[in-house]
Amino acid sequence: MKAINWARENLFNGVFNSVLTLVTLAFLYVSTKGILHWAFYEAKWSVVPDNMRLLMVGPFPPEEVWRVWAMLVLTLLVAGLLYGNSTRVRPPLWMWAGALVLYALIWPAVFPSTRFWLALALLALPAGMLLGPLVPRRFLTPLAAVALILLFVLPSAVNPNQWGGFFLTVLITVGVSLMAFPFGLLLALGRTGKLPVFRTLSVLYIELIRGVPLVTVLFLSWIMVPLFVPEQWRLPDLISVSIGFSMFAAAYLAEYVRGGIQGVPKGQYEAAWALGLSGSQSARFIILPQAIRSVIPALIGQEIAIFKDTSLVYILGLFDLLYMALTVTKNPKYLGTDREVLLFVMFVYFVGAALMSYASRRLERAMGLGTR
Amino acid sequence: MEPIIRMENVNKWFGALHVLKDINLDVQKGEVVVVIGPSGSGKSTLIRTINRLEEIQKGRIVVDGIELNRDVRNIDAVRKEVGMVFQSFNLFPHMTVLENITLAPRIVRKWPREKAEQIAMELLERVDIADQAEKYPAQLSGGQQQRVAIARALAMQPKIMLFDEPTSALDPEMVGEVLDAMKELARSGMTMLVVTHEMGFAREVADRVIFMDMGEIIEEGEPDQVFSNPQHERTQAFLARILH
Repeated sequence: MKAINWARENLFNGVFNSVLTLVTLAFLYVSTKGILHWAFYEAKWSVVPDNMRLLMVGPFPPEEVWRVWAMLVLTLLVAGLLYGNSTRVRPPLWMWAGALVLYALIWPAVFPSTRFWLALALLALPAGMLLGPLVPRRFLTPLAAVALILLFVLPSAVNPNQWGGFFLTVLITVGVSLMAFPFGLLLALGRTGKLPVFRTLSVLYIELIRGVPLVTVLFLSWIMVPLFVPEQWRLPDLISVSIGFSMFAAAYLAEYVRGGIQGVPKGQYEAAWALGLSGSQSARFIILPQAIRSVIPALIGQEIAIFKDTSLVYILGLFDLLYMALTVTKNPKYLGTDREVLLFVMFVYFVGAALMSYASRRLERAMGLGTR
Repeated sequence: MEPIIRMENVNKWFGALHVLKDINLDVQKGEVVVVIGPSGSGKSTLIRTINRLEEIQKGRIVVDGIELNRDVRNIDAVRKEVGMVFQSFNLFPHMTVLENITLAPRIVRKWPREKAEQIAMELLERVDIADQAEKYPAQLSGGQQQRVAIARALAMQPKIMLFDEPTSALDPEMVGEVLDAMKELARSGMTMLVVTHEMGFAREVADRVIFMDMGEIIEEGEPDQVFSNPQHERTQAFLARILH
């Protein structure tokens, strides 16, 4: 009844609005009819679960896929432990329920032998949160260090040329972010600093990189980086491309951080200097923490851009999510499923970006951005 | 006795603007000097040259036996011995009150955390806001923030304290609490240079009052003498406007 009243008040209040509502409805029906019909009757969605392993890990040897699962479980578990330990928040009910729902949803898409891992992965985050407060604080750093080492050791048994799918996409995103951030900080400090040499070099670098398309940088690094490395340690393409990508992303990160640095009031520098802090101490303890805090939304935006732009590496023959998706559509068995597969790829990117966006908002609130 | 601050023929220009003209000033250890004058007279610039927040183009400044020149080590050495309180507080907004106060002692003086925190709590007790130690600056009133700023400067155990219009940004009802903290500090024997418009404070605690106008020291002397019997006509005009 409420709905009918609402419709009467908002959609059919007067002749003109009633006509407009009917025309709009007709237009919506005509324009989406085809799409809905396709999505529910014609689309062969089974192509996605049938090829789930290819899409997720690419040519990673099937008998080694447990390594990827272990990395996922480890990351979620440690993230849960750290979060639980610092906030003492018990995992809410929706987290357990969500794990159950996700298990039911994903269950048909994984091989029976990996369902065990799926269950572990889904339980890892809430379990970590639950256990977090029980771990003494002094064990946290060594624990995180061990986890980090394991994260490097686990995939290293498999040749990087066999890494692929969404797994590779995530690896490139994380690797590029880790390399680009410190480099971007240095560039931002160089550009805002007093030393003319560093300032000029930083400005030149930033403007040069920002003036060229990412694809050209990726191509160039793919060709050029191996030239700087001795013949005998042939770098995997993955590494040379990631280096180029990081150099590109660093220029953008540097500009965001520079904006933050310039937003810190002059009085903050003066207070730091008056207390006897050196230039680098002021930067580290006073200026950068405030600068970075104020540009977190922009930095996460850049992270999301990196995540989505990793899809460009498919041009260089790296087996990322997009590359694997296109491979699947070329399989004669799944001919004509381009729409289904590409929509799935978009969905995966969207979920990833939405999660990062959500994390950003949580982070802003936790840091009290805009309130102090 | 060797003065703790010696300024000889100090000159400073902002571009074509001559903001300090041949300043000669000696401050003795334990002396409280109040600098007054109309805005734009160069009084803030004057005290900011003492910890090198402003560079000078001509002349010489020696603080506690250390010559302020281009040598960064000398500048850092002077800044360790000179505390400063600003008009706009300039507390670090991303740190709690306690962290604001312990930061410099821990990283510049290399004190262990326990020692720095113990001294910080003593200082907060002294300026009467020990109960606010875990709050962030934005959660405090202006008067409380300025008292934290005084405690932060004192935590480095400086030999000299500079105050650059410490009460000008405060609501009137909070001026008193900050002035009280400064009076207590003056009585404890700290060497202080204070730029202020609070004539009552100058009368009560200053050993010497300096009147500046257009970048020059026009007149100086004991507060009674300067306030009751100013010699120079610019001093008379300024005081007439302020005291009426």
